[in-house]
Amino acid sequence: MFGFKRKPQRNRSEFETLTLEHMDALYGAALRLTRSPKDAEDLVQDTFLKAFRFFDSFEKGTNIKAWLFKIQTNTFINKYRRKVKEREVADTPAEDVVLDRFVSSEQVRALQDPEGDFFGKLLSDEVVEALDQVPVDFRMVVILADIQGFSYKEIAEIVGCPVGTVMSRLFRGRRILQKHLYEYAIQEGIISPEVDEAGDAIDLDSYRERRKKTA
Amino acid sequence: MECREVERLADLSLDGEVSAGEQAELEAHLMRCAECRARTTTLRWMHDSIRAKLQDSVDGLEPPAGLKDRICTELRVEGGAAPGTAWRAALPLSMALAVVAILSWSRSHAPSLDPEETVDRHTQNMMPEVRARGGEQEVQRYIQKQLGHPVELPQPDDRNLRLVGARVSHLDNADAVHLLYDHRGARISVFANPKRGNMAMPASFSRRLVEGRPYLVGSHRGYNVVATERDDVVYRFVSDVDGAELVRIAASVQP
Repeated sequence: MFGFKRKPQRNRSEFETLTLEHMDALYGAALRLTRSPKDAEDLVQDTFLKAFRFFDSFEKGTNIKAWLFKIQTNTFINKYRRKVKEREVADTPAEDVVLDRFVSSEQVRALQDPEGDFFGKLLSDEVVEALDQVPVDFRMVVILADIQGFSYKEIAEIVGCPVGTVMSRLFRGRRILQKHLYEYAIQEGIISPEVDEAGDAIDLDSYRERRKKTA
Repeated sequence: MECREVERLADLSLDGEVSAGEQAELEAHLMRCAECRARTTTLRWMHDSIRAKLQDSVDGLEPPAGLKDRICTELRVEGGAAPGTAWRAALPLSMALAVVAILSWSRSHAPSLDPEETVDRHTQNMMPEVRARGGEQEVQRYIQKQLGHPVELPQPDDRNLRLVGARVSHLDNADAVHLLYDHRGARISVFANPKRGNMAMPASFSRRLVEGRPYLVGSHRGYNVVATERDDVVYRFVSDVDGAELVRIAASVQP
C-alpha cells in the first residue's frame, strides 16, 4: 500500500481575507467571458473552490488577483469554453474581415467631424454588447487588459501564452470591437460611411528587427 | 520608422508597453507625419472612450446575492473535511493507475458519469504532459508536482498495455489524472478521479458483473466507455477498442 502526506491545514480565514475582495472583479470578467449570468456564477464559484484547494501553492506576497484570474481563466478554458464557442458559432457572424488598417482614413474623417463624437456618446451597454460579439479568444485578452488593467506580462501568465500572442490577440480583439461599434454607428445613422482606400499591411516585427540591427 | 509600422506600436504605446527608444521614435514620426498623427489621435480617442465605457460597465457591478454565501459555505465544507473523506491513495490495483487528486472535493454536485465529457477528453487527443519514457518514475514525479502528493504506481500485469504518459485533466467538476495507454496500437484513455457518491448511470449504459465486480458499460459517439470504482476512486476507460475487450482490460486492473 502506498499513501501520501497530508497537506498542512489550510487556513480558511486567511484565504477569505485575501480573496473575497476580488469576487466582484472575477464575476465582472466571468460575465463578459461567458455572457451568461448563470455560467458566470458557476465559474466564479468553481474558481474560489479551486483556489482554496490550491491555496498552499500560492506564494505569499505575490499578486493574488492575477493568481485568481489565472485559475478562473484555466477553469473557463477547461470547462466552459467549448460551450461558449458553440453558442458563438450559432449566433454571431463569422469574423472573416481582414483588419489590415488599424484606423481607416474613413474612420479618421468620420470621427473627426465635430458632430461625430460617437465613441464618447456611446452607452456602456452598447459597448458591452459589441464586446460580447468579439470571439472568445480575443475577448478574453481585451477583458483582462481593458477592464482589469493587467499588463501584457500578467496576461501572458494568466492565459498561459507568450507575450507576443497577447499583443496580437489584443490588437485584433480591439480592432474587431472598434469595427463593430463603427458599423453600429453607421447603421444607426450617427455617422456616414465614406469610401476607404486600401491600406498597407502592418508590420511590427520587421520594424523591431530593423531597429535592432541599426541600434 | 515607416507609416505602416506606426499602428502596432501606437497600440502598444497606449498600454505603456513600448521601450523608451521606441516611444521616442514613434513621437518623432508623429511630429513629421500628419496622417499618422490623425490616425493615432483617433485611435487613442476610440481606445480611451471604449475602455472608459467598459470599466463603467463593471463599476459597481455586484455578483448576485447569495453567491458569496454559497462560496463561503462550500469553503467551510472543504476546510472542515474530515481525514477519512480525503482521497485515499492506497489503491490495490495491479496496474499503473495514478492516484489522483486528493485535493478533496465538493460534495455539493451530484456525481455523474457524463459520457459526453469523458469521450470529449479522450478525443481532444491532448498530448501527455509527461511521457513514461524510461519507466513510471517521471509520471510519478509529474503527478506529485501537479497534485502535491507522492503517488506510487503499481506495475500493469497486462503486457500489451503500455503506459505512454499522463496529464492532469478535469472531469465531473474535479481534477482527474488522465493516463494514456497504448494497447497494441490502440489509444486508451484512463481517467481517475475521486468518487463523490453513487454515480448516475446514463440511460444507454448497462451494468455488467465481472468476477463479482460491477462495471458500467456503454458507448458514446462511437467510443466505448467502461467505468468502475475502487476505494473511493472512479476509473473510466475510453477507447475505440472493442467493448468486451475494454471490459477485460478494465477488469485486469483488479487487485
